[in-house]
Amino acid sequence: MSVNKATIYKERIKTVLLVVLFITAVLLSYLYWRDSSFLEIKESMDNRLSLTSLASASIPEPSEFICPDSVDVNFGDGTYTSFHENVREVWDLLLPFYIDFTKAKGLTVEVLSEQQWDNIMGFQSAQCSFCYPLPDAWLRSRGAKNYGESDYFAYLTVLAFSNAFDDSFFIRSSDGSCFRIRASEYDSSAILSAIEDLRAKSRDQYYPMNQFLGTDNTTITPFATDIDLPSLQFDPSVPDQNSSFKTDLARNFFGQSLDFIRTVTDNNGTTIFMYNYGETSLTVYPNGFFEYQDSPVAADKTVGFTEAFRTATAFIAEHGTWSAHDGKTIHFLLEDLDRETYDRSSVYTFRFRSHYNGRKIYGSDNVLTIVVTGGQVTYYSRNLMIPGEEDFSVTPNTGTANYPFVDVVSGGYESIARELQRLELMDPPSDPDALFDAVLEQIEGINTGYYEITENHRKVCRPAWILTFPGNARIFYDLYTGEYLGTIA
Amino acid sequence: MKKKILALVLALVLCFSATSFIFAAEDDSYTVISPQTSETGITYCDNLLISVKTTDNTALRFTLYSYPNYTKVSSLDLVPASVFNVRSQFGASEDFAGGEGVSFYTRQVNEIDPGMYGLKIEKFDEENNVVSVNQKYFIVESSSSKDSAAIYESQTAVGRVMFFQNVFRNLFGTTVVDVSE
Repeated sequence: MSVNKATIYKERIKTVLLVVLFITAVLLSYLYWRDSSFLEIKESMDNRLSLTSLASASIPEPSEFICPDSVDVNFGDGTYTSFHENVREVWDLLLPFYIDFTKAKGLTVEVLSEQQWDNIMGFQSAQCSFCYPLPDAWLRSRGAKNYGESDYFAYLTVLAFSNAFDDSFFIRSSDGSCFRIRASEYDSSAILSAIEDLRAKSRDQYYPMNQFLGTDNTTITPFATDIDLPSLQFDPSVPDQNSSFKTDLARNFFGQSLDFIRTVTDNNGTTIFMYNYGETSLTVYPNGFFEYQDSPVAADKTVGFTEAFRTATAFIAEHGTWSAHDGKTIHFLLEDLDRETYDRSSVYTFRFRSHYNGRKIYGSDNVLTIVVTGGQVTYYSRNLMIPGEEDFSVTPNTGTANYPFVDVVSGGYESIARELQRLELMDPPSDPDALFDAVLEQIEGINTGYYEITENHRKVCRPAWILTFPGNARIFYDLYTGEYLGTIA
Repeated sequence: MKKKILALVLALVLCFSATSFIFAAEDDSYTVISPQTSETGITYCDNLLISVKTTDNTALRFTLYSYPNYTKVSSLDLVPASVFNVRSQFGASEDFAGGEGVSFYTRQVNEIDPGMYGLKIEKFDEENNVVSVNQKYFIVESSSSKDSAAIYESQTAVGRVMFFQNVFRNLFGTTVVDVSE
């Protein structure tokens, strides 16, 4: 009996050893085939886990990405201000008044002229301006009532209230048309009080350009500012070319198995992953930027803005971008929106820009672009800075005052004119004395933010005055020295 | 006949010379941007911005006056001539030396009382001699009195009335009494 038991135990031990040897042989063969090491496997697992955790991260609400570019306030007594950095706070304060207004009785719509709009905004008023056409459908998704006239302004760029007519709100549509929406009954005391309370939220003084610098341009212009922006520095993390970064990224898009994925790498280090004869592809560049493309599955499919936007934000969340900058106060806002029709399907193009503490960061990078066709993501590119956590630093301003904006234009208008001429945005007037006014007439917006440059292989985001011109051309000047930084067109 | 023609030509010359004095409000080296007034000469605000654009190294002195005998009218051209004769300096005069190219003189007057005001602008040459003096009059009314109904009305052309009244005022001159302390 005992002999049988001993034999059984021996056989069992042999079986276990054989199994272990077999598994080890398979693993070593795999490593030999992949030319990898145990350490790389561990790193790959870590990365896969991090991407997986990102994929399961909560999807931000679309409303977190939608915010005006600025809120310009006329206090009605000859003083003005403009909100940029804390525009989210002001927008969240004012939007509920509009939503409530749309539920008022007897709403009617009338068309205004440009002159009437300017005159109306000459009273106590608040104008929320967007740098993209905001769909009225989104406002309705936030609770605004459809009052039956919204075909006039399916997309709007300005939502405003003015004490000139306190029974009304005012809309400028994406084609520039101006409208007054009037209620038969509306108590405006609460919104007027809220606008007056905004006085305490801003230290900066602005005036319409026509009152401060001349011309007919009414763009709100900085008069006296105390904008305190730090500069930002970081070493962009470039994925190790020998790491599994690219394949892990591919698995994030195509699934764990890449057996049916064709991979092509060119001499520059760009890798293209293709599926189904190239109908779906992922291009990963050496600096970590990537582009994803997919062919539409179904034609003749229309989805609304809200559904398309949710699809876009969810897709980006599943492919690891929203949470990439957690804890660094870098966040994203919608920067641009296009809508068109292709093959009878709705096509929405969304572009997101990174911000630091509410200020936009401009440079060659810092943009997310995603296209939703008929409810399906057909294009996604991530072209933005990826600061390493340990390499991101903030250098506070040491009390240097802002370089006055008036000196930027009065001292730099000739170089601005040359730049606009180079971009074919302006023909200089024959009368040189008229050049200053001609440049002012071209300014569509004045803001502050960051301009990204490279210094000693590091990315540096310098605080800047940002002048916006037609076609979204922008010219940047250092916020503290007035030095010209660059042009983006 | 020749005398009549000569008298007519002389009258026209006097008219247009006065006009050129008035409407060069400023000369070519500076332009008053603010205060901006309607055609009635009225600006509605509780806080006043004065902004003047200068070019070519222009040296200027700005003095703001109030006119204490002003009583509310609907238009600057309806202000009696006697009101212009008594004025009080409002704050200190300010000298401004514009740089080469474009420069801006600005001044903010917060919580300004409604009334009639005048901005005197003296231009100096390199030897600090006054080479020209211009005055811009305007009426300040409280921002709360601004009428939104006018947005839907076309504005009447009061400019021509103001033109002739200013011509006559400058042709025949006025004696200004300064009551500044």
